[in-house]
Order: sequence, then structure tokens, then C-alpha cells
Amino acid sequence: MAGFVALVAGLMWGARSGVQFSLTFIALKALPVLILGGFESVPGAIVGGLIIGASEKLAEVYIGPLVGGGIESWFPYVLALAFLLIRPEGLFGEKHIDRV
Amino acid sequence: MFYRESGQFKSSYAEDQQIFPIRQDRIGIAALLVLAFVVVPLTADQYWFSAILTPFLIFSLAALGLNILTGYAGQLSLGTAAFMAIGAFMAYNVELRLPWMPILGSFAIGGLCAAAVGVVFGLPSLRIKGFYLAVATLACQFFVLWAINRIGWFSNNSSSGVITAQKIVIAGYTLDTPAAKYLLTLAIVTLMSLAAKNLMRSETGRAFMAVRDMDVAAEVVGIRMMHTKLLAFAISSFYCGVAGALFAFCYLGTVEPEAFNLDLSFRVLFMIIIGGVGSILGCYLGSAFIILLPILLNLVAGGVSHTFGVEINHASLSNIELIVFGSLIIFFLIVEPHGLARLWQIAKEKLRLWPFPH
Repeated sequence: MAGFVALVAGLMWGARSGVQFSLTFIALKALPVLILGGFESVPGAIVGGLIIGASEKLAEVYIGPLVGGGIESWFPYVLALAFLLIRPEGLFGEKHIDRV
Repeated sequence: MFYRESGQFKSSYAEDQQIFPIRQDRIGIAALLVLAFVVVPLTADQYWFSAILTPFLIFSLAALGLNILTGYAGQLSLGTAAFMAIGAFMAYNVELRLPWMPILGSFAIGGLCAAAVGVVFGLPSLRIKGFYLAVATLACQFFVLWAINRIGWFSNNSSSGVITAQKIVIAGYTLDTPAAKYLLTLAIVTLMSLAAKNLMRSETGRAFMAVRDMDVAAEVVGIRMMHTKLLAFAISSFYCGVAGALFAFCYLGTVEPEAFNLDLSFRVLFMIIIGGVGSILGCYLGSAFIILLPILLNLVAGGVSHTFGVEINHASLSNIELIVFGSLIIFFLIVEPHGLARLWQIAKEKLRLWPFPH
């Protein structure tokens, strides 16, 4: 199931930007999406993907020139990080209660 | 038969608490040190020093740093290469801008800068844990590389971001042969491993392990969470920073920021997973596995093509190497999930009874 969804994502990405080895980095980009949306939540993944994708490009266009550009590479991670500090379980994730 | 503690009595607390309580272990370690410090420099050739032994030691040190954080304190990190980059570039800058600074001082300052950055990126670990923390350290990895690439100060405004490490001069002696660099690396790695080994036996080390095993419980029994976690990040980044400085000064000589990319982080992570998470010995075994196995596979492939007269072209050869390498990693992890260090421990337990069955 995971493989199938990833396959579809890979096909769509390949149709849009061509296939190279650097594709492995895309998989890493899925991590902040997952975290922003929250684990164990399908709507979270979709909303998270939209937020990450949009904010990454917007940041590149609006904040990028101020600091010299190229911030696309790390912006999603910092965004996810800042978000986690406020809401550690993500947007739609379930809140975990620690027990000893 | 020979490897056992029977008949070795301890009559003082100091004896009871020594690092290697069994005499055979002490002899073994002493023999290993003599081999590394005396025999190897006399026998090995240049290729061995510069292509195998020095990187092996440097990666062991980086793995040691990551193991302190991941193996002992239980905080997953993917930012090892970033800390190494900070160590390398700061050591270079200190040498460049403060020419009177001794080289070991520059290495230490490089390590301390890495530690400071490590503490900053370790702050999220107080609120998030596990897989989430991996993303936080991933942010560190990308952000640091970006900063080094963009801010000219780090590479002294070189257009491509490449730095060339200065000569290593210690007390008037210039260390420019591979053998001398190997000895310097070996000395630093030995001292820092000893420090790490002792740290892990101390109160701090036990606090790390308590946090790893269950952080809520550790907090309940009175371990200061912020202090412990940030200390783990600082110490780990310090080790990685020094490893990075050695990587630049003793191994490569000329470094670009891209040398410290995510692949390097993953390599160090693989090292500690294969070698054994939470074990000092495991860092060395894992580093040896990752560094030496490709070379060994290369030799084997060369031998095979030579004896059977089969021509294998270079591209497919390197791909075969990767395939074999990957399957060996999976094989080892299935056979022994706790890493190579655990295999050695099992062997030691078997040796105690050998040749008797019980």
C-alpha cells in the first residue's frame, strides 16, 4: 500500500520534472509534510503537503532574495521544526500521553 | 580456557572499577595500541595511511560522537555531517584569522563551535522525540550547509566555497607526511575514545542511559532533562566537530561544503547501526565495516575477473559492489540486530567456557 502510493507520487513527479538520482531527496521532503500534518492521519498528509509545497515556493520568492536565495532546500524542515515546537503532535495527529 | 576472570582477585576499589577488569583485556588493548602506534607506522605504505587508516579513524571518531547522542542518550540525529562541516570550517577560519593559535587549539575551537550549534539544534529535543527529532536535525543539516555555501566568511570568500587546509605544525614540527597525519589522528582518537569510555561510566553517562531507556521515568527520579539532553548534544557535536576538522586537515586537505552532505550523515548513522548502538567498540567495528568492505569487495572483484578471465567494465563493477554491500548490511542486521559489537560480546561469553560445554 505504502509502495503503491509512493509509486503514484513518483510517476507524477517523473512526468513533471524528469527522473534522476537526485529523486531520493524527494523522499526526504515527505518527512516534514508528514510531521506537519501529523502521523496516522490521511487528511493531515494532504494538508501538510499543500502547506509545505506552497510555503516553500513562497519563501523562495519573497524571503529568498533577502538572504541570497536557495533557501528552498532547508525551509520546509525549519518550518516543520517551528511548527513542532508549538504543536508536537502535528496538525491532525493524536495526542500521546506518556505513561511510566 | 584462557579468557576468563577466575583467579583475578580485586583488593581495592580502584581495581574493582577499572575500565578493563580482566587482565586478558588489558593485554589485548595494550597490544592493539602498540600495533597501532609502533608497528603500523613502521610497516604500512602511503596508500594505506592516506586512503584507509586515516579515514577509518576519523569516521570512528564521528561515529563515536553520534553514538554518544543516539546510542547512549537515545536522541536520533541526522545532522552529523553538518557538525563535521562546522568543525572543519571553523578550524580553518581560526587558523586563518588567528595565526598564533596552535593547531590543536583550532581543532578544539572548531569542536566547541560545533557543540554550540549542536546545543541550539538540540533545543527541540526537549519537546519532540524519536522520528520527529530526526526532522529537526535534518533541518540543521540543510541549514548549516546552506549557510556555509552562502556566507563568504566561512570559506574566506572563495568563489566555489572550497577551503584548503593549512599545514599542520605542532611545536615547530611540520606534519606533512601521511604517516605523521595518521599518528596525530590516532593520538586524538585514542584520547577521545578514552574520555568517552570514562564519561559513559560516570554519573553523566548513566543519566544519558536513563534518558534513553525512558525519559519520563528518568525525569521522575530526578535527572535534569534539559541539562542532560543538551549536554548529550554538546558532547556529541564536539566529537563530530573534531572529526570534521581532522577530516579536512588530516585526510582530504581540500574540502568543499558538499563533502559534508546528507550522504555522509547517513554513512555515519549506518556505521553505528552496523557496529552496535550504544557501544564504544561498535563505532570502530562499524567504521571498519563501512570503510574497508568496499575496498575488499573491489579487490575480490578484481581477483575474480583476473582468475576467470572475465572482463567486467567499471560501471557495472561499482554497481555490483553497491548491491553486494547493501545485501551484506541487510544480512548482518537480520543475523544480529544489535550490531557487530554484540557478536564480539557473545564470542567473549563463549570463550569463558570454552572448551567445556557448561
